Amino acid sequence: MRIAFVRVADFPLAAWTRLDPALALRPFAVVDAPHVAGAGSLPSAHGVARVLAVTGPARALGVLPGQTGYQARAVAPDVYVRGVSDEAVRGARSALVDAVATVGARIEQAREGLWLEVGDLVRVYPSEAAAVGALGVAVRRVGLRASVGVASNKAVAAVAARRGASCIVRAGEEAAFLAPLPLEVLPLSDGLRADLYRLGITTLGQLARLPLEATGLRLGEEATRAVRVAQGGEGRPLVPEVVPTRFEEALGLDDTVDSIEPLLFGIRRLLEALVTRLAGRSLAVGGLQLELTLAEGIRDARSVAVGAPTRDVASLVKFVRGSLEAHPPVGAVSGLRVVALPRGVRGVQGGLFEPPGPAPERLALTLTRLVALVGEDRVGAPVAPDTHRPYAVAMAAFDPPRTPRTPLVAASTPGEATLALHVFRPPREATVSLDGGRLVRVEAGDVSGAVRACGGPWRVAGDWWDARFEHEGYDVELDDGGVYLVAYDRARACWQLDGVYA
Amino acid sequence: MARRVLADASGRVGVVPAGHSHGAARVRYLPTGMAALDALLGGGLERGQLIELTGAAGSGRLALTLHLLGQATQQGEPVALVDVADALNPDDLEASLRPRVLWVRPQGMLASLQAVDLLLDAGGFSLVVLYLVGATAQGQAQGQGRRERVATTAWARLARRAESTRTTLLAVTDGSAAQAPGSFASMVLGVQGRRVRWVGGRNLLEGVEGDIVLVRSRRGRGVGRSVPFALGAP
Repeated sequence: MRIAFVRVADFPLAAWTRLDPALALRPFAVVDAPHVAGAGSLPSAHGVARVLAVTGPARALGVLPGQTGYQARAVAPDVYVRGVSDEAVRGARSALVDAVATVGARIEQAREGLWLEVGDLVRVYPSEAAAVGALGVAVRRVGLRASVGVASNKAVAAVAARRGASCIVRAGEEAAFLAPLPLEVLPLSDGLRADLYRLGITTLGQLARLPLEATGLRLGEEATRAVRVAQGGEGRPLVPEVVPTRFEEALGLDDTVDSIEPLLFGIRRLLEALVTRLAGRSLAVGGLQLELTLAEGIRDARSVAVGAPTRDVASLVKFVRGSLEAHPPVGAVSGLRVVALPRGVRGVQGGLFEPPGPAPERLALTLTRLVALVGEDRVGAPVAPDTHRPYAVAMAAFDPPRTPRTPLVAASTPGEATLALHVFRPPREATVSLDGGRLVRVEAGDVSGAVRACGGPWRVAGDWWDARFEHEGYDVELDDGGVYLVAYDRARACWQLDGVYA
Repeated sequence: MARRVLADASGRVGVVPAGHSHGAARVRYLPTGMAALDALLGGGLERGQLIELTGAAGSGRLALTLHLLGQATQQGEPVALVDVADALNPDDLEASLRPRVLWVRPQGMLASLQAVDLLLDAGGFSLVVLYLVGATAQGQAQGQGRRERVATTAWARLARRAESTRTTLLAVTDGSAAQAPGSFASMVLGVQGRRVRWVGGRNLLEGVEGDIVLVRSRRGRGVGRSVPFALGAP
């Protein structure tokens, strides 16, 4: 069996830089304390905690793991300090699983990364090196950096990955590979490491020559395991897990935010990370659940509909903006959480003899963008509404049939069509002059004229149980040549211009 | 006999390269469903072109637009109507046509143009109609506000999009300079109402008669000619 270990160095740091890549380019340190969201510059909890990991620019300024947050600030006043965000780490771990799952399916999670069985991948990739390359690409795509070690057992694969660069150890060469390596590559406790140094053991080759039983008696079970690893690794099998998939990303803010634009900036980052993970599994966002953490632990949870499954981040941001503007959070926000509901992308294959039309995914994306542009209730197929209320509007989801229409019955007279009404929404207020009950003049905004001919009235009433309407309509030809629909609204006792026949 | 067979449309005899058709390149059209109008236009509405349909209030533009939408779906392709003034009465659309019409009701000219851009970019629509009649500045009721202007650059972009996606873009305007596509339209059709017909006695509206005039065309043929049409009451 061949096993790869995909190791992400300094997970707490990687979790932050994954969501904000700019952090990797500035002095930034993560301390061993829970991140305090919305607390300002350097809370005391961060100041007294020990530095776990630093970025390159921070190390160049003298900030090192083991210092306290206050010491780090004393060495480099500009260093940016944050605590460990469990939510961000969970998101990073999930993203790592999603990325590795695009290469292989048998995965076992570990503290620093995960193991993947690669023995059967030779059917997909031409070599182990190609599989390692694919893993690197997949992991980078989700915003992480990993080193990959491949060996015949888990322990050696982990050591190979811990060297910092991707490494493939051929079967049978484990001992030779491990011999020159320093003790630091093994995850030993400080006490055991100190004991081994006192005995003059500094390399894995020296460790491998120790007698197993005597070492165990003197230094304990941990030392026994370390010796076995140094001798070529132990044969513990990979235990594949079924990792539950939840597309969730979270971000704690340094300062509370009380306006929408900065919130959307953070939400966009989370959406980009989610879309990348979904794309790796050929899925799209079918809906969003957004949770905002407000002061005193109050949570604002809301669902955001997205129309059609999409991976277009700009459209998703528009939907979220619409929700936030319609229902603004009641207080300043200190944390964000976004959960994406995965949906398959519609994959309908057009038939050979079917008429052409927009590709299903393209149409779904266009509809999503249109909904984001004009609103969900203003895009769709027109529907005759189930009411007699004049000029009511109803729309249905646009899903055109892909069969040719039944040919229209040829008009009895060539060049004939049906009159249509250009509706005025809302109706225009009108002033109507009457002479013995007959309409003689109509004035409504830019429509004004004497009545040449008139038909009606056509009475319609309804919705007496709700918002009652009672409507008397007249077809009116004015001396400007147009034919209009003028109505008397009995419920409001006023005249109005409903439309023009056009 | 062989010379007659090989002669092209102009009567010349020559060598025709393999794979090339005789005569002018074939242009695809959307039939209008009105034989006289198709004959005037050389086959129908040209695909991939921006066409303007204009006329006075009550002349029959909307009715003709809905008729053209119906004809364009005959082959099964969907169509779209960007209704800037929210003027459509769904009952005026034939029931079998409604599922094939994407009705977009934007608020404001900018959103309308963006919507048309998205529809053209999607491809696959045989006809996209931008119905500008009654469009006023956002927030103002129809007939009570100033007309919103469509920038020249917008027409240029939309015309290019239509050409690249082979979608016919029909701009229905009120004839004002603020809305006219100008030279970006390959063809301008004008609708003129002539007579309103009433059924005598009971004063029932029977219909409207008018003419469709080819006001301008890049092809140059038939400009100034008109065909009669009639709109019957629903």
